[in-house]
Amino acid sequence: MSCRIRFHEGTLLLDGDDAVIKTLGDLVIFDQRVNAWRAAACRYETIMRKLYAAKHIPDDQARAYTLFEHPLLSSFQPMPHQKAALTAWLSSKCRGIVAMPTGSGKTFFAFLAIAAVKRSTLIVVPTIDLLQQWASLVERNFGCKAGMLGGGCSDIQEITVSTYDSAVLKMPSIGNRFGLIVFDECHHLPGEVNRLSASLCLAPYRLGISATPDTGETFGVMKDLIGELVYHAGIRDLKDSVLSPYRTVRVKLGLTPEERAEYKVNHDQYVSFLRANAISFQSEHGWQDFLLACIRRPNGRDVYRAYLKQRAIARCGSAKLREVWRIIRANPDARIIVFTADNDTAYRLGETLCLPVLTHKTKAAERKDFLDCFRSGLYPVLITSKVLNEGVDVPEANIGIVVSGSGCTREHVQRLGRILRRAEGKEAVLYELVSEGTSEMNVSERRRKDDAYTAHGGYSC
Amino acid sequence: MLTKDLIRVRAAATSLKPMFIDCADETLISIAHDLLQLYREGEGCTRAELEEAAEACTTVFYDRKLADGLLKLIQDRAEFMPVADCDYPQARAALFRHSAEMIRRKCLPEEIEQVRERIFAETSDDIRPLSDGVFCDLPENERLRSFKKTFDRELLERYNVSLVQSLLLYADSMTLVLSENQEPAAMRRLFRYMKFFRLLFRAEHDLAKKRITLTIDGPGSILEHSVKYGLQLASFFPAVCQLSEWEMSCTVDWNAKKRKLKVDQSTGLRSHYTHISAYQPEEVRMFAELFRKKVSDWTLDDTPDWISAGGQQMFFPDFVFTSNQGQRVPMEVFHRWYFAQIEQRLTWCEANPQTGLLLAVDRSVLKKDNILKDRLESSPYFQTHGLMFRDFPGVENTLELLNQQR
Repeated sequence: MSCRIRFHEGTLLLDGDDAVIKTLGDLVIFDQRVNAWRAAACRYETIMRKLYAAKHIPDDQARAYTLFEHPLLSSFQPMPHQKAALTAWLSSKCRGIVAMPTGSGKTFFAFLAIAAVKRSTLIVVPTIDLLQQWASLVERNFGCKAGMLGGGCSDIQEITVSTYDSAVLKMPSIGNRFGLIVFDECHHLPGEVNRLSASLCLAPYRLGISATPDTGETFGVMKDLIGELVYHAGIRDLKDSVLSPYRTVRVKLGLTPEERAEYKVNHDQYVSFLRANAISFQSEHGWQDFLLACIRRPNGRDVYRAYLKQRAIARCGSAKLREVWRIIRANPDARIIVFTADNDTAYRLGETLCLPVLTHKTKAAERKDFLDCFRSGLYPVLITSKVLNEGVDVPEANIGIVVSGSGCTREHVQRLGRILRRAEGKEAVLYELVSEGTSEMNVSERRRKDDAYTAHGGYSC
Repeated sequence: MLTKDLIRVRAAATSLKPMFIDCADETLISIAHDLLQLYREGEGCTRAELEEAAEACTTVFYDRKLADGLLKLIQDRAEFMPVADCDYPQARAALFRHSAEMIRRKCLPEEIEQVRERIFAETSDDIRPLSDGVFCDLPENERLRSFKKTFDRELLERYNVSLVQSLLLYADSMTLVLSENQEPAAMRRLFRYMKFFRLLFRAEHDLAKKRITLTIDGPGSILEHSVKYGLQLASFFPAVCQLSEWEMSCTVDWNAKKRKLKVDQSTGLRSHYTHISAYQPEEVRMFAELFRKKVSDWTLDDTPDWISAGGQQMFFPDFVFTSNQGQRVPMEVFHRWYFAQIEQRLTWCEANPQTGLLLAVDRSVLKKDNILKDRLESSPYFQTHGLMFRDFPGVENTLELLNQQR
């Protein structure tokens, strides 16, 4: 025996032949607190490869994951892009990121990967809705009970689904129990806390899936913790073949005279404050500077209220409410998701039109009921703020109405993705409602910069 | 604890100074009293009502951030009950089915202002409670069920401790410099908390200056500097305030810059960890109780002194047993989450057999670890000073081992 490896609180402890351990170089560091060598759990695969390559067979007490030999029960045949993605991922030693648009079968692709690797698996997801959705899909596709961590559940099974938060919390004790870890919507991983779900886990096989992977400066974190981007297909690559044909419609709407007057007063107060304090949102800390000035300046709190007021008017003028109602009435047989930027607007719409509203405040049982009824067609309309932006599977939706949102391209692409799942004869339409003559026009321009909009050529009316 | 926006701190280029408050200040006692009073007498009020009433106090206070911070600490002590006078989800389900049906039948008016009225005009009685508000059971409408009471001054003291705790959330480790004249009970408490929060330490005993320096962080801290143990450090900090002479320093990641935070006993911080046994696990308490009941010729002390192991090591037995003849035998218990220390301790005991430390090891640790199992089984010291247990050592086994030490 060259050395022994144990899992300890999300790290690896190595002891035994020091000369052998030292060959691992920077991967390990001597921990005098416990008189042993320590390594990050996520380096397990590299350490094992190095030791085996040098014929130093370790006594591996760290690994506690098991074989998972349930065949995939689904009769679906993988589509060409899924086959290509699987080949790419397998040939990169079962580590890496796969980017596919929403509705192109990312979940099924993950199941193909689980079936290929045949190891106990942890699937990490960003929301409780996704937790429940993945768990029921696991049970349906593999015929075994899915474990759940998060949303009040703490049950570990051969395939377990966890929220990022719960994974971080539990990883020090369960980080050695999974051979494969799947990060759904993996662009959430680089966050200071979320990344611990990857670094405290020893799973040698890793898969990240996302419709909108980050290729900016945070990509380095994902690459280090999951692997390279091994496959990438965009909405345009799969449109009409895998995804529904779609169009995007921008609807510019005016404010009422009263709203315009109120908007102007508040907007002017807010903008003068920005100028007086030389605050620019172009700078990296613009938002922080604004908040700080609001706290420190004598009139800061009034200005902050003015900022909120003018934003609320732009986000939810009465013309927008009327337009939402017009679209609903014009499409009585459609399945419509209405997206808002904030809960207040969502609840205002729900209260006015007596329609279901799904936000983070919605309790689990009612949340499930809303989604089930929407999927089955019992509810033709579902209003949501941000919780349905990502991942949740609502294949029947064919109209999306963006009442308000941020300037983030990712959010907008994800919202478009909600209605793109292919169905016979379906044409998806995404309406974007914008208050003309307000700062929303700039926000709208910013979020429409993705290829899915620019190349497709949506139109305005 | 306080959220980041509520932390009052002066940030210099390289250091941070928490803006502690004077807990004897009449104005502060008065605002603490007003805010506490709202919650003390607020049973049955909605969250929104309480927040509105509290805002009336905080907006007129000269330091809004401070008042909001106090309010946050008060809100952390409040428990709300859901709105329950009607099955709202069920009523909503009926309402939404009804509105969906009306949309499909195209029988709703074009004017948005008339939609709600038309829907409610055609609904059954079970939906009527929603006419005041379809979503009136949202959290802001939940009512105060109970409130963990505290005194006005205690709240202010807790605020000061929270300022440091909240900064520790952004720290990767802490350094504690202690006078070696600490009360043994305080030191024992400190290390119990450290063990409970799964923190590790390196100790340096400076005999000349008569002080001990502890560097406290988490298992993975030596691999990368991150704030992942921040919550554990923050939760641990009140235990530090119980010591008599101490100085705590750490590096805080504050607004994208590393800054030093240093506090000591002169700040007068008072811990709210008042109960010595606050984190004594139930099984420890039961074991002690049972032992005292069943065994008459040994007495058990579950508040023993720490043992200096020389160099950078010190450790804290969980119990010390004293025989009728005055013989003292310490025992340390190793649960499965503490296995990393077993081998190190055994090696030390073999080199220092005169200490007579008994080692009680959780059997489940050895299930997969054959090397450690072999190590324990082949150790003559462990054969005479060790025992295995499941969950917690049994009184009979412990007594048998103790009698072997006579």
